[in-house]
Order: sequence, then structure tokens, then C-alpha cells
Amino acid sequence: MHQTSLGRLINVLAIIVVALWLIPVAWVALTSIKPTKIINAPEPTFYSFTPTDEHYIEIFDRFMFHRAMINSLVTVGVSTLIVMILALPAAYAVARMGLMGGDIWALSILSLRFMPGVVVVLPYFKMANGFGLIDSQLALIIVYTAFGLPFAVWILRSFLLDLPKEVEEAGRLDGLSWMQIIFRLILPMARPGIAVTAIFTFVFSWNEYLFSLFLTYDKATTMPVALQKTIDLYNVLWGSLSAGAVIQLLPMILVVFLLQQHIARGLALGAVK
Amino acid sequence: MSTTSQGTRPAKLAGSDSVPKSPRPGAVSRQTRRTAYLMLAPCVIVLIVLAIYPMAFSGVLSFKVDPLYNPNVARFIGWRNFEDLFDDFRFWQSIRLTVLWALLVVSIQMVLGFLLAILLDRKMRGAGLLRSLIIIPVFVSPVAMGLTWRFIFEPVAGLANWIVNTGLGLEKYSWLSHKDTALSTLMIVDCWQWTPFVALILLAGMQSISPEISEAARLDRIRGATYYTRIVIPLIRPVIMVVILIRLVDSIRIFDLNFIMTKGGPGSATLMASVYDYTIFEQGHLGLMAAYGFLILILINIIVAIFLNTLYRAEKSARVADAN
Amino acid sequence: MKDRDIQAHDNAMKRIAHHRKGEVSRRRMMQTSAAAVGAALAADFVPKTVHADVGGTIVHFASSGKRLANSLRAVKPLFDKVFPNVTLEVVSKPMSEALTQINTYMRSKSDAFDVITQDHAQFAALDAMGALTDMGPYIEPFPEWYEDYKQDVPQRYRHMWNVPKGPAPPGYVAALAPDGNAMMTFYRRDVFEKAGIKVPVTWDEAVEAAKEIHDPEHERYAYCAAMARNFWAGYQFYGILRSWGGDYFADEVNGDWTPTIESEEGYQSLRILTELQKYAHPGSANFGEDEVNQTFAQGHALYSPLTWGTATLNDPTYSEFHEDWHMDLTPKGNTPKSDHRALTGGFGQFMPTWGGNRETAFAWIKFLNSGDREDLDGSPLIADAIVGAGGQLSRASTLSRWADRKPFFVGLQKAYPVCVVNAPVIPEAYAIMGAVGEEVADAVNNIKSTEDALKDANKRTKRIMEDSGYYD
Repeated sequence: MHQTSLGRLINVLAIIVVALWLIPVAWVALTSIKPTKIINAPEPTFYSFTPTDEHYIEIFDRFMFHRAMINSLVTVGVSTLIVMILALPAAYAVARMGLMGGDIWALSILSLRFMPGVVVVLPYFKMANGFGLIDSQLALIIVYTAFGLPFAVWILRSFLLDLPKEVEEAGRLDGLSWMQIIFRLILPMARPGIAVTAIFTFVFSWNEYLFSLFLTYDKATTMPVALQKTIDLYNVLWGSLSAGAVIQLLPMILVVFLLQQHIARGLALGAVK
Repeated sequence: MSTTSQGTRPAKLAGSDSVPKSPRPGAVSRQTRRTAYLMLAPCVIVLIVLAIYPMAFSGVLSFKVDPLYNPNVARFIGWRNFEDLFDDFRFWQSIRLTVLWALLVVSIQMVLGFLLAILLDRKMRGAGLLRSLIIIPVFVSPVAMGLTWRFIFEPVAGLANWIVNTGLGLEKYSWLSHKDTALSTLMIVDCWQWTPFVALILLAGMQSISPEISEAARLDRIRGATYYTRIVIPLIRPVIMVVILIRLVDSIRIFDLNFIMTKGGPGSATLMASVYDYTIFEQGHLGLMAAYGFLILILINIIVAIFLNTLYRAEKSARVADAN
Repeated sequence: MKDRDIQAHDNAMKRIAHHRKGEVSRRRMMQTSAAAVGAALAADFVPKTVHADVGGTIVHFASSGKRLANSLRAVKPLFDKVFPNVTLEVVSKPMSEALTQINTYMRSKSDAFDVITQDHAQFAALDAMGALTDMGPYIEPFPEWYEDYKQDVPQRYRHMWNVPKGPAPPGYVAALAPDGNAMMTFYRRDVFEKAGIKVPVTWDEAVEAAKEIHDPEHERYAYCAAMARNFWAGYQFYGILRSWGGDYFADEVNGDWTPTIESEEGYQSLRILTELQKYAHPGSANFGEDEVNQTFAQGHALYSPLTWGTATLNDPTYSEFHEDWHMDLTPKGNTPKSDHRALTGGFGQFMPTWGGNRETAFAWIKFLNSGDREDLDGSPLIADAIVGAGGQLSRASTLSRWADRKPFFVGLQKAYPVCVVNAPVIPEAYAIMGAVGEEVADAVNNIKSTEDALKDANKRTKRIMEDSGYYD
């Protein structure tokens, strides 16, 4: 496609929209380097202050953020991996293998997500307490898998429906097994969908608060709970809160940056068939 | 493959994969079906194990008085929790607000998300970077972001009113602190956060459209709005469907932003279902909380069923039209 | 402004500066973590006696934040020196959910914690769950120590910690509380002085004062208080109700549980809350306590006749106006039954039934509550550490040491002697406080009429009590 002047205009528009969209996030980042007194000033301040790193020191020093970060990475990473491994065949079976009432399956799979978290969290707490899993990473991995799975099956299924059937038929004629078809043929073709699904499975657990709150208290605490600790009695420690939010965001940006390559590459891969 | 043969009518493609190769779905070989169930099994087993107990637990609880603060007085009371809820004007208000919220918010996000996806569905240098950046709102911690938005909308010292007043020279606006403006302010934030999510999934859908099709469309001089309505939307319909569904379910369950930014206030002006349910939990009425949870479950199921039904009917008629 | 800071920081800073050869600036020090404050204080601490015979591991749970978990972490290094063979772990959960979290854990008879810091309003509920331990037998071997504690912690406040309620017997000591707080009048002394008005004594004067200093054109609003639905609004209402001589029940002491929220006193309380809204900061109608304090810090609100608050407001790093904010007793109504009654709360340490290591756990609780008497295992450094980390105190002697630097503590000193418990001492307290708060918030925001709100609050309270079998 040749760049017309209209096209260039749209490109500029895209940049402007994205920039405006990010103002609130920039505000968080700015708050994280402001001294507390400036944050509590009667008017918003944009530049006339001396930046400070005290909140970043505090968030690690006082709120043990590094430990929470490792917990988050382990629990969310492992559960996302399990979810993707279980969800891909399931989504394929529902979308492609002519299961009778496949959609009903898909619907019922989702239903745990229909309940308000607070209703589901109490029985989970009881279960974890009974098995001695309170304050363990395992408990969170199990819960995040349970919550991520239905969601992942749904998104994946919708992407698999989009794919052309001819490739698998060819694969079947070549005598590949179903699993080989899924992981050798479908996986590369459905990359954009898989990348998006993985991103969102990851992020929903990454920001999950309620279950982490109930099921952990010290050793297995994840970042959202550690972050909430910056809200003091009658007083929000804005600096620490913002610094924590920035730190919590960084790995996510990295993950997206890596995975979005696959989203874009879907285009080129589609051409192979 | 059928793409080229259909030429200028690729719109029909969407249904083509769902069209059974033979008239009856039962015609899929028994062995294939067994394999399919095997592939589904691990997923279903995991979910059954993890879902049955919580559901049963809450089901029993919803027929009890069981104060968190005093287990000694716990007992079964039949349907009274449900009756109490139906008698409570806040319950009806919360349901009304939640449904209104879900419908408005999802429609706005779908439209904006689609436009945003189009904007980003371009071959330009740095497009990848833009796509990575726009998705940040979904990733920022809801706790921090909710509190920051609350701070931004603070009626006297907040950034929003600073822009409105100092920047634009207008009267300061009440945002979250007045019962008439609080809900729409919440909507702004929700759309800010979730439109990129919608956009990114739609974008992934657009990206998986085969280049042959877009090439064919280009040769046929289909471009602009026509290209999107006649080719893209029908092709990515399954993706659109699932995004609507997911957003609908999550909007009805809206908790984080609502709880952090207004706690349901001022008064009970933004009291939506999940926050009200959490308040009931905080006040220790476990039975009432579980009953409410089940009502939300039913509500969501009804909405999803209606939605799916309409959608399948539309899809079916499209298929019939295609066959003719 | 030099050296007007609290003594704890002065002490700690000097030590840190000494250890790091003066590299640390004063501002830096203010940001130092609680543990560092404690470590600095402990560096030169030579305990009178070292109890090497006590050992074991104890896990102490407290809500996160400066006032609770952090002050514990600050005392820990001192404790470690006196009890070198004890391993103490302080763990915490976010403040906002900690109260219900503790209840959830206790309902499941969790053995995860040996000591727990909990809000007073939850103790009746903990008692109903069978989670509390009678501390009497543990206190008994230390009569001299306990005598000192009794002398120093104001009686009304101290008695709150006996459950099921009131002074023992029939109650038992369920917790010892080094921490305390009260609802007080918060006012900007500079503003009041300039306007030539005194701190209001009655509610009508309070409304007058608000009218006087209200200056919306310059964004200096007279009044601000936490009117968010649920508990916050409930406390606002209950605080005024008590000052008029009203209460939630006809006669709590003698067990007459007829709700009396729909009463003349209830009506007056709601009227005042509505009236004050005319002079309120625009956000006030849905603020929580954190937002109220921020408004105070920003200088947009000048007065609140009744609010919880924290010592943070007197913290030089927190606000421009840290020297101007002063605290006093809350106003009273103008009927004979009216009086200054400060709603008092606080966080006490109890030993959960399912915890272990009782002797050691009590040694830690006793250490925390020891105050300044070095001959009784205490040390001025304990209170230094608590205040340095951002905590607030219950012992009169320790409060008075900082009275000249922290007006907040002056307020507390005045409040404890006239304090009343901040909620009825029954397990249902929080449920009722929440229900009333919802009705009050709706009334203040014009969603319901005053009369309807009071009627519904009465009705809901009755339902809660009915469910718990109070009328059987």
C-alpha cells in the first residue's frame, strides 16, 4: 500500500490518540517521583519539583516488593502455561471436531467466572485451609488456572473458528495425529489468537487481588496485595503506590512487546498456506 | 480453497467453516468424537473439581443465616434470604444500574474498540510500538489506577478539574462526588481501561485475515468503510462475538473500579451488583451474600443465553442464505 | 522549622548519621523504613536484663501500614536484643481488608498466627467465635508490671479491652493495647485565630463556625468528613448520636436491645450532618477517611468537628500545614443528656485460641506494652520506635512526652478520659454500623428523606438482632 497523504494523516492521528490515552498512566509515573508534600499540594504540579527516588526505595525496603514480584511471576507464569496447554486442545475439540453441542460445553466451562469473586473466594479459602495450602504458591496457581481456563478456551475457540480447514485436512491425509495437527499446524497458524489469549490470561491473574488476599498472608503474597499495603489507615501513600504500580507494569510491557510480534507476524504466516 | 472461487463475496466465508460437511453433525466419525472428548477431558475435569465445591458451598449457604461474626447462631431459614433481597430497594437498584452499565459500557467499548483497531491495523513504522503502548491501561494495577483516577477526579484539587478550569476556562465539574455524575464518570474510566482490550483482540482477528482476501478485495476496489463492513466484520464475527460476551460478563461483574473509586456512593448512586454483594460480605451476612451471588449467576446466564440465541439464529439464517 | 520534629526521629537520625558517617540527610531519614528506625534505635540499646531462657518462633499478624505493622517492625529490633532466642515474624495484610480477613481466618480456626493485632470493634465477634484467650493467667506473674500498666493507660480506655464487656469481672482481659485513637475535632488553628473564633463546644456552634470560615471562592471549604456509605457514615452518625446522649439501643448495659436510632437524638444527629454539608468540601459526601485527610493536608478543608484522623497530619513531610492542624474534643448537643463523648477505638494484641507458644507470645505483647519503665523491662526507646514508625499511643506518660510536638497526641490525652466505645460491644457491631451508615449516606446525599433513613436504620438493626436471637 502506498502512503497517501490521507494515510499519513491517519498515522499521525493514531499516534495522537495513543498519546492522549496514556496521560493517566503518565500521571502515575510522574507521581511516583514526586515528594509527598508536592503530591499533597493544593494544585496539580507537573514539573516544578525535584524528582525523588524515595518511593522506589521505600516500596522495596518497606513493602518487600521484590518478594511479591517473584511470587507473581511464578504463580502467574506457571498458571498461564498450564492454562494454555490445557486450553488449546479443548478449544480445538470444541471448535473443530464436530462435538455435538460444542457450544454448550464452551458455555458451561465458563460459568465459574459468572459468580462475583467474593462468593467463590470463601469456599476456596476453606478448601485451601483444609489442605494446608494457605500462603502457598500452589493454591494460587490452582485458582488462577481455574479462572483463566474457561476464558482462554473461549477466546481460542473463536480464533480457531476463523482458520481455514484445508491445512488440517491435508495434515490428516498425511497421517498426522490430532495432537501433531494441533501443535504443528494449528499452533503456528493461530499465533495471533494464541498470543492474545496468553497475554490476557496472564494479565487477569497478574492483577488479581481478592484470591491472593484471602489465600496468602506473607510468603506467597503477590504484587497486587503488596501494592494495596501502601494504603494506610486513613491515608494513601501515593508515592509508594505509584512507584509500585510502575514496577508492576514493567514486566507486563515486556511480555506484550515480545508477544505482539506474533500478533503482527500472523499476517505473514497466513500467507504461507 | 473456496476464497478465490467466491471472489467478491468473501462475506460468506464466515459461515463456511461452521457449515457441516454432511447434513448431520453426527456424521463425524465416532473415533474423531472420542478423540475430541479426550482432548476436552483434562480441561473439564480440572474445572469440575474446582467449580463443584464452591458452587455447592454457596448453594447451601444461600439458605442459611450465617453471620461471619457469630457462627453460633447459624441456621437454615429457607428462602428468606431471597425474599429479603427482593424486598430491598437497593437490590433492585443495583440490578438496574448493573444492567444499564453493562449495556452502555459494552456498546461504547465495541464501537470505540473497533475504530481503534482500524486505526492500528496499519502497516506503518512503529505500529508494533503503538499497539504495545495502547494496551497499557489494561495492565496497570486496577488498585493503583482506580485510586489515581479518583485522585484525578477529586473535585477541588484534581487534575481533571484543573484541565477543565485552568486549561479550558470552564466551571469545575463534580465528577465522582455528585450522585448524578458519578456513574458516567465511572463509565469514562471503564471505557478508558477496556477499549484497548477490545481493540487488541479485534486487531488480532483482523491480522489473521488471509492476505489473499485483502488482496482480492483490493483488486476489486473494495476499500474504506465498505471493506470493513462487507469483508472484515463478517470474517471476524466469531472474535467479535467472544469479545462482546467476555466484556458483557465482566461488566456485569464489575468490582475493582466501582469499589475503589466510589464504594457504591455517593449515597447508593453507583451501587452495582458486585460491590453491593461485597458490602454485604463486609457486614458479615454470609447467607445473604451467597444468595445474591446466585442471583447474579442466574442473571448472567440469562443474558448470555439470550445473546447466544440471537447470535446463532443470525448465523444460521446467514448460512441458509449462503446455501441458496 | 529546624528541629521541631519528634524526638524519635531525632534520636534515630543521629544514630543513623553516626553509623553511616553523616551521609544521610534529614529528609532521607524521614523516609527510612520502620525497620531502619528500629535498627537505629536498637544499635546502642543496652537492655537491663536479657531473657535468654525464653525461646521459640512467634508469628504476629497486623494490618499493614505505619500505625500497626510498621510500629511493630520498629519495636522488633529492640525486642530481639532483650529476647535473643525468640524468632519473631511480623506479617501483614492490606489495611482495607484486614478486619474481615482476621474474622475469616479465625472462623476457620486457622493456626497460622500466634499474636494478632485487631480493631476493638471486632472483639465481641472474636469472643463469639471462641478465638480469644484470657490473658489473666499470663499477666498474673507480673503484678508490679500490670500495676504500672493500669496506672498509665486511662481506665475507660483500658476497660474496653475486657470482654465480653466492661471491667473484669465478669469480663476477662482479652488484649493489651499500646495503640489508641479517638474521634476528635480537627481544626486549623491559624484560621480560627484569624477569624477570632474559639473551638466550638456545642453542635450549633460548630455549624456557626463552619458558616463563618467557609470560603468556597478561594476553595477553602469549612467542613469535611468521611460520609462514604457503609462504616464511615455510620461512625459520623454514631459519634454525634452519642454526644447527644443517644445510642443504638435503649439500654445496652442491662440488655434492653430495642433499637433507638429513630429518636429525637437520631434526628438531631442527622440534621447536623445534613446542615454541615452546606459548608462542605464538594467531595465530602462520598469521601473515605483517607480522602478527608488528604483534603486537610492540601488546605482545601479547614475544620471537621468529628473525624478519625492520624498523627500523620502533624508530619512535616506530609503537609504544608502540619503545624496548623490542632485537635480537641468533639462538640456536644444542647440537652441535659449531652456531653463530650469521644468515640474511641484502637488496636489491641490478642493470642488466638489456635496459636502456639503462649508464654513467648505473651512476653512479646508485654514488651510492646511496657512503656518507659526500664526497671519493668520497658524502655523509652519502645515508645520512640512506635512513634518514629508512625504509630500512636495509649499510655498517658508516653503521650505527654511528645505533646508539644504533636498536637494530635494532645487531643488524644483529652479524649481518653471521656471516651466511649466506638460501637456497641456485641458481635453484630459492624453489621449494624454498616447498615446505619448506608442509610445515613443516602439521607445526606438526598436519596432518602431523613425520616425514612432513620426508620430503615431502626428496622435493619432490629432484623440483625432478631437473627442473632436477642429477642427470643
